[in-house]
This record gives sequence, structure tokens and C-alpha cells, in this order.
Amino acid sequence: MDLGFSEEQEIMRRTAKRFLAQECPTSLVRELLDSETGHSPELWHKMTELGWLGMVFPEEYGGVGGSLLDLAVLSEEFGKALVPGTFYSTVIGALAILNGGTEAQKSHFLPLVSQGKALIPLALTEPSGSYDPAFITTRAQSQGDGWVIDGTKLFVPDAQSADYLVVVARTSDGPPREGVSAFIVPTASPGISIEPLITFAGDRQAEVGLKEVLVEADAILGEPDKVWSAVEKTVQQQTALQLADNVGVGQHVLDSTVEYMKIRFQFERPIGSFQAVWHHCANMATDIDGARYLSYDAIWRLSQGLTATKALSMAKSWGTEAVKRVTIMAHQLHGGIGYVTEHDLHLYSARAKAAEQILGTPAEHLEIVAQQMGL
Amino acid sequence: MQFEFTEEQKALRQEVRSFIKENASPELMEEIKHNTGANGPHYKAWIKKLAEKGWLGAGWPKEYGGLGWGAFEQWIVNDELDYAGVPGAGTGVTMMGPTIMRVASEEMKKEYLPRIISGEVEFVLGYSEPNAGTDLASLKTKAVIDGDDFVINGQKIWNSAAHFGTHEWLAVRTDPDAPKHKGISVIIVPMDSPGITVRPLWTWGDVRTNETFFDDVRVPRKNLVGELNKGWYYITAALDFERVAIGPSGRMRRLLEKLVEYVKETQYQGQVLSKHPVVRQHLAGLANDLKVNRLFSLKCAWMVDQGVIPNKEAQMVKVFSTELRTRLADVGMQIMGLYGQLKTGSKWAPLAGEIEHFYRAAPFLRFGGGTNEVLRDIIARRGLGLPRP
Repeated sequence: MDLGFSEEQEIMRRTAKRFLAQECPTSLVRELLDSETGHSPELWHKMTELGWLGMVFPEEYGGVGGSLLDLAVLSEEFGKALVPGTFYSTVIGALAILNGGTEAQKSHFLPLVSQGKALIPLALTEPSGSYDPAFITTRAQSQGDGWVIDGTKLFVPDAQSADYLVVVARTSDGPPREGVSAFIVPTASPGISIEPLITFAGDRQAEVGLKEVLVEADAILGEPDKVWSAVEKTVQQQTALQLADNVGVGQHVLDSTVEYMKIRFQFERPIGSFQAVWHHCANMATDIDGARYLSYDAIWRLSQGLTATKALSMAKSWGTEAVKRVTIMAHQLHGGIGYVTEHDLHLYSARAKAAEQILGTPAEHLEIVAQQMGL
Repeated sequence: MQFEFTEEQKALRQEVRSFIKENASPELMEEIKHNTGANGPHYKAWIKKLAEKGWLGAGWPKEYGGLGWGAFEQWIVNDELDYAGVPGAGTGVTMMGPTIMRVASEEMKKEYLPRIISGEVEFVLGYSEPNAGTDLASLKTKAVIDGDDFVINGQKIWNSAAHFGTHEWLAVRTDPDAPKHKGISVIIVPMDSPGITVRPLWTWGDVRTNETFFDDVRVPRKNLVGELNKGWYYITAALDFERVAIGPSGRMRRLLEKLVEYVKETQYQGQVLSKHPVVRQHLAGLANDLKVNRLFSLKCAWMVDQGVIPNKEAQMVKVFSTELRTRLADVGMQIMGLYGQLKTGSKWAPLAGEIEHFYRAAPFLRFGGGTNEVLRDIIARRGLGLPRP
């Protein structure tokens, strides 16, 4: 039993902290929030130089051969620095290719992603609002050598900046987990429409319309009808990284709140010397530690290839609520100064709340935990 | 990073389980249920068996008769004992013994350590007084030097083991003129000394505690632990040991398992309780909380093994686990609805009234072992560096 990180992971963490302080200050974060795509090619390029985009891809596909846990360590630092979401959306799409693609697809697309040459988000969710394959209505029909895809994808991350999308579509009827396929679709394909949504946290998501979109035979990820377990694994990996990012968000909010409590004076003393403030901060520290250990237990399990379904849902239900609680208490403790948009706190509160809204809400994850408990 | 136990540790857990299965008799379980049974023959026999196995003081250094085990091995033994609801090491093993090892004379070590680890000596924690609880340093029980003896006068309250323990670990005022933290000593007082009167106090949780009166009680001066007037430092150091020990949640794990079985078998409004969405959400939430508790507790054990003293972590696990106890029992009782009201022994009492009893027993640890307000203060000040007023 070892609750610490390796020497290499700690070195990577320190490198990430230094890099992000320099290259991703909140001024850039704010600039990108206001920009059209929310994406910074300069930052992107610098991250590829550090090998971060290919962190979890095998070396044979142009990656670094690191583990999911390694990437999670990085993700925690990303959460602290509010790194824009294009990193995650493209790594996740690429993981879908790694998990479900043919050798040719992996050899072609993964190096592109590692080198920062292509953005390939996963287009999974639809107007149903569900991650359950039973509710996928986007369909792909075989036509000649290729496929024709019709349907709507909703809440697709960074579709506006994407070069390709990994589109999950049903190719046959039957039990929900069977008959599902995925296609690597160039966003420039005729028939694709991309309409940005406006999200409260400012991360870019879009509605993607697919009207008779024709793709070639080699666009299908692996084999027809059999991709769901690869997609499911990808969603678990996405969840794991989001958990780590969120721990970073929470840790930053805790640390900066405690610092502010020491320097803000009222009644001729720092407000951090009042017992109520002590107790709020103690509760916040407990919440962050709980989120941290639940999350890393789940991340570690997934990274080791162990079954992680229950652990991920436990972390997602308890951990995201805990970090959210911390952000709201931080607003209470900061008072007016932390509430104005000029202050960074709301950027963290939004990111923490967004983490609760996607990949299943706490209630949905509690239900998964209940099932795993045999109820 | 590694969130699994080693094969050896897993084997140890199995060994402890088998040992409990073979040795924890129904008579022992019956005797324990009433707490007064702590001085009963089955309890004594059980402690003796644990001691013979070496598990009573497993974490003690070998030079003092222990097994020198690391924190995780001790954690595993405590977790399994807690799960089974059987007695484990008392405060003598977890608090007084380690304190004696660190500060007492060689003579005192020789006299007490072997008898603590064999279960022969069972300590009674004599700290609180009617006017000295959280503000323990204001205690007034006095010890005055008279020739080769101390003469002790005063009163202790919440003296929980006084009706079965063999020795008081008594915090007394030995210098009334010094500032209050600097005039306190710790003296070992045999319970059979003339002048000691023990009066029972019954609590809402059915647990017995005591008021203990000291009228001109004489003990030899050699019963002083460490140095005169340095007692406050020994007391505060020992409290951190105590808080790590409160962490294991084996019993709560067992209660949740029983609740899960209960809801799968019990019908309500036409279907089993386990299919009602609210019940599912509640029980999953408790499972999450229990896992957080377990991870906090393992973090403390990991720190101890690394040679780091858990500070804010010890307070956190104590606060979290003690407040979880109420949540678990509360949710359990609510799920049981009307039946949740029934006490042990009543017809129809679900789970033999265990959940209802746990609800009444739960509030105690929110103030026992240090009240949670003070512990949150410590997390904030020592753990986060927040300033004093």
C-alpha cells in the first residue's frame, strides 16, 4: 500500500507547474475563453514538444509510453492552471482510436495527435443526453465500399477546432452494447454542420449534424458492430482524467482560499483567525483529501488494467460533489472580492461544476455504485 | 502508487478472520454486548488468547515484547477485530504503553510493559473532571508529596474503564502555583488502592462510564510517569496516537453489509427495499463515505510507516469517521421506517436492534477523544497554518 507518487511523476509534476506558470497564465486562459475557438496553437505546440499529447500512446505510435496515472498527474496540474479543454478532447478521441482502431488507423492518426497536427475529439453523446448505447440514434449504413452516416451529436467537445471527429453510430439493431460502430470522419466532409453551444464554463461544445455523410471503408474504427467496449473504456479513461483535473481545481481553490484568509484583515485581525473560518477550511481540506484519494484509487486501478467501474463511480459521485462544495464555500469565505469576474475564483467554480454535469451526474453514479454493491 | 495490500498482508487478514471464527465464542459476544462484561471471564480469556498470539501489542518494538509490526499490519488486525465486534487492544497498548516507552524510567518500563502486552494490566484513562473537559489543563485533582508517597485527592469523570481496569493513568495537579499547563503530572494509581470510590454513570448509548473519587489515596512516588510537572506534554503526545486508533471502520463496514442484506430481503410497498431508488442512493452514498474513511485511515498508517507523524490527517480521520457513524445509523433507521424504532430484545426488531443501538451510541465519539470543534481547530491551525486570534 503506497499512497505516494513515483520520483519520475514528481519530477514531471514540477516541470508541469513551471511550464504552466509561464505558458498558461490565467491571462491566456481568459483570452482563450473570449476567443472564437478556445484553442491556442502556440500552447499546443509547446505541449507537443514536452511529449504531453502522446503521453499515453505506445512509443510505436509516436507516443511516450506513459501510463494513465502519469497523465493523471499532469491533469491535476492542468486543473490547477485551468488548461483549456482542447487537450483532453483530442487525447480522448485519440484514445478511442488506440482502444478500438486497426493497426493502420493507429499508425496513421496517433502520431498526428502526438505531434499536435490534428485535433480529433470523440463525438458520442446525442440529444438524449445519455451515455447509454441504447439511446444512440445516429446511424451508419453500408453503401458500396463505404458508409453513410446520419444523425445528430450534441455536447461534442471542441468540434469547432477539430480536424476529425470519432463519431459513434449504430450499424445494426440488437442488444444495446452490440451493433455499435465508430467512424473517423473529417470535419470538412460534406453534410457535416457544426453549431457551437454556449456553456456556462466557457468550454467549447457543439451540436454536430450529420446528413448523408459519406465516409470511406477505412474510416470505420476496427470492425463493424463491435466498438462499444472500446468506447466504454475510452469514457472510463476520460472520467479518470477529469477526476484528476478536478482534484487540481479543488486543491488550488483550497490553497488560495487559505492564503487569502491569512492576509485579509477585518476587526484588526486576519479573518483566518476566526474559529468559524478555521472550521470551514478544515471541512474544505477534508473534502479535497477525500476527493483526492477516491480519485487516485480509481485512476490507479484503471491505469493498472484492473476493474475500475465501481471505484470510478464512487470517485465521480463523492469527489465531484466535494470539490463543488469547496468552491462554493470559497466564495462564501472570499466575500465580494472573490465574486467579481476580475478575480479568478469563478473560473474554478465553473470548471468544478462542469465536471459534475458531464460523464454522468452524482445521482447516476450512485446508481452504478448501488448496482455494483449487488442492490 | 499502490492501492492494494501485498499477498502477505492479505494472508494476515485471512488468518485473523479464521482466528476470530475459532475463538470468539457466542458466550464472549453475549458478555460484551452489555459493556459491563468487560471484566467478565470470557473477555479475559479472549484477551489472553490475543496476547498469546502476539497480536495485542503487535506494533510494539520487539525489545518490549511486541512483534515490531508496521502500521499496515496493525491496521489489518484492528480492522478485522472491529468488523467482528470483538475486543482488541485497549488504551494501555495503544496510548500508555508507547508513552511509557518514550518517557518513563527503566524500572517503570520493566514493571508495566510486559503486563500491558499480556493483558494483565488494563489502564483506566483518568483525565476529565466535572469542570475540566475540553479545557483539560484546568484540572484540579491534587497530588501532594508526603515522604515517599503522593497523596491524591479529587474527582474524575468519564472514567470509563474504572469498573474493570487495574490501574488509573491519572492526570493530577502537582504544582498549583505554576501556570496551569506546567503544573500537571501523570501518576499510575492501582485501582485497589484504599480511598478510591467508583460510581457508575449510564449513557444514552447503553454504555457504562464512571465517576471516580480519590480520598487521600496514597501511591509510592515511583509511580510518577516521567518527570514531575511535565504531564501535559505526555498527555498531548498520547492524544495523537489515540486519534489514529479511532480511524478503523470495520464495524461500520459490517453494519452496511447487514443493511444491504436487509434491504434485499425486506419488502416495502410491494417490492424489496433494495429496488427503491432512494434506498439505493442512500446506501451507495454510505459506501462512498466508508471508502473515504478507509482511505483516510490508510493514509495515516502509510504516514506512520514512512516515519512521519500524522497530524491533520489523524484529526481528519477522527472527525470524519465519528460523524459518519451517525449518518450511517440515521440512514439505516430511516430505511427501516416504523421498525427502526425497535430495540434489541423486542419482537420484530430488525437486525436485532443493532442499528437503533448504534444511533444512540454514535454521538459519544464526536466529543470523546477530543471534541470535533477542537479537532477542526487543529486541522486549521496546525494543518493549514491558519493564525490564532
